Amino acid sequence: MKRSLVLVALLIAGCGVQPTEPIGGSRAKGAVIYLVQDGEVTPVLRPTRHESSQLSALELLAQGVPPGGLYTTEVPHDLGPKSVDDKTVAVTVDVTTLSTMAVAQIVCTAAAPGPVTLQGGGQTRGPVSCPD
Amino acid sequence: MRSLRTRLLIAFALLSGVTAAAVAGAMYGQARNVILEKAQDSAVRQFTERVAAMTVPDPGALSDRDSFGVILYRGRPLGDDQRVPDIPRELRDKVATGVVAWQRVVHDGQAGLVMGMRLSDLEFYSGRHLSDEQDSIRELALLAWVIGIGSLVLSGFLAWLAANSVLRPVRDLDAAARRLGEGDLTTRVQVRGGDELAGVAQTFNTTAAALEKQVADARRFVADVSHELRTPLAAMTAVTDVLDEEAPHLTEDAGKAATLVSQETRNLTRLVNDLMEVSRFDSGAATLALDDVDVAEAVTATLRARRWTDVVTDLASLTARVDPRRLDVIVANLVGNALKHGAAPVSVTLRGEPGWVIIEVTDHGPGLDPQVLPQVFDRFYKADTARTRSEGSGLGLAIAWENARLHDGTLTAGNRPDGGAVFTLRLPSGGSR
Repeated sequence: MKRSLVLVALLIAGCGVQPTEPIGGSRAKGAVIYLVQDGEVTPVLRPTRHESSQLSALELLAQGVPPGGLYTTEVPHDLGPKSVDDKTVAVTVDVTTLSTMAVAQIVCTAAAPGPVTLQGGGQTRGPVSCPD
Repeated sequence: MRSLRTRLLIAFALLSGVTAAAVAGAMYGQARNVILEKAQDSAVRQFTERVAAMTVPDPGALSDRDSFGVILYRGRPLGDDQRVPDIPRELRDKVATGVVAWQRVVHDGQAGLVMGMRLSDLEFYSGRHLSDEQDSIRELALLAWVIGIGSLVLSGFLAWLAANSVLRPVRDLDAAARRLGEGDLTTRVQVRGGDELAGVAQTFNTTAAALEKQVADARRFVADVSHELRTPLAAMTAVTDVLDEEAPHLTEDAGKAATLVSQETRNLTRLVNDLMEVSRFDSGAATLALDDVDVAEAVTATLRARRWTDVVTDLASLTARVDPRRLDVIVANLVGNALKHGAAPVSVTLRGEPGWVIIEVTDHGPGLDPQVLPQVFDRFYKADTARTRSEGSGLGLAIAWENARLHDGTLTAGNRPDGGAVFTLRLPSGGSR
């Protein structure tokens, strides 16, 4: 008798909508690059076909913006990003030629947890943090 | 011990209950999951499309009438942060792994879906309620309960029908066996179908037929013996008259012997006559010769014919349609029995009830032992086992009872509250029906 009561209670409790654990789907797609608006770096979203890495985000950053838009960029087209890790960002271009704004754009887009050092053209710069 | 019907009902109800619960439960569960998954998939798709269409991180682009949006930049909300507590910690952990994730939450009975994804420093969350889906699922649950309980009730009804169809032959057999035990040897049951119960019914019929034949054979034997004894007894009875006349003239021993022979011959004649009477009842040959009889007059005549002058009578004047010979036999047997086994005074009362005449014969003896009452009308039954020889045949009360039954009346034995046996005869006053 007791057992059937428990069964009935379970049945009734099993009705309705139950909460779940978090369920994971596909990898998130899209990239975040930092452009300049009113003299400040601002995050801007770019759609991507696949999950994007920081390196591909830097490549997107180097592609620049269409002229006449809301945003500008000071990152040169020939940035040539090579590798990104938590401490360094390696590019082809001579990092000493980059403007402060461009460095901020690159460091923010690289989205490292701490300050990063820029390497490129045999030069290094930094470590630099992304301004809040 | 539960009855067969109860056990069948419980087994059926359990079976159908489990089946109904399984089917309704499975259908319900499946439908619920489909509804929820469809809603979730569509919400997640809308969410990812909205994020993909976004250029500037804007929480407003993720919200509409049914949903809210939250964007966290480096863990801090952009704009309005009221909804941030609605985002479960586990979901944020899952989102941090780089996948699009969602989680169903229930708060105060209200179900909702929270979705999230992370791009670089930005976390996007959107939540929406699932109340429409919840309503649909509630309806589904109601439907499942209705179907489940309905099928349980229906199956209970079917089980009841099935149990009846199985138990009817059993009940018939039970009633037939009881009738057989009560002495109706012509009892047979109807054999339906060819199942096991039909086999039992068949066996019952065969057994009853065999029993009936055996009893009939035994009765016929008694009848034949009685009949065969009649002729020599008639001759012997004729001789006893001579013996009675001659006895005083014989020597003492011879006279005693002659009297004894004469007395025993008369007893034997009465026994044989009673046996033949009983045989006629058993063979169904006994018939009523009904006549309109003044019952009081008939009872008085019976007493007078046997010279029972000390019997107290209280007779109402009644006319009834009875067989006068059989009435005489009954009254004579009852009064004779009372005189023999009870103590004086023996009284006979006659009274009428609508449709019935009632004759009561009472004595003032010790009454009947309650253990004896059920057997008092049995053949050759002797209440006093110490007395092996009785003057009667031992069939008198049995014959009286059979005669009462032949009239569709009853004869019952009992005790008066103040002691003394009372035999009550009830006969229909309008004759046998």
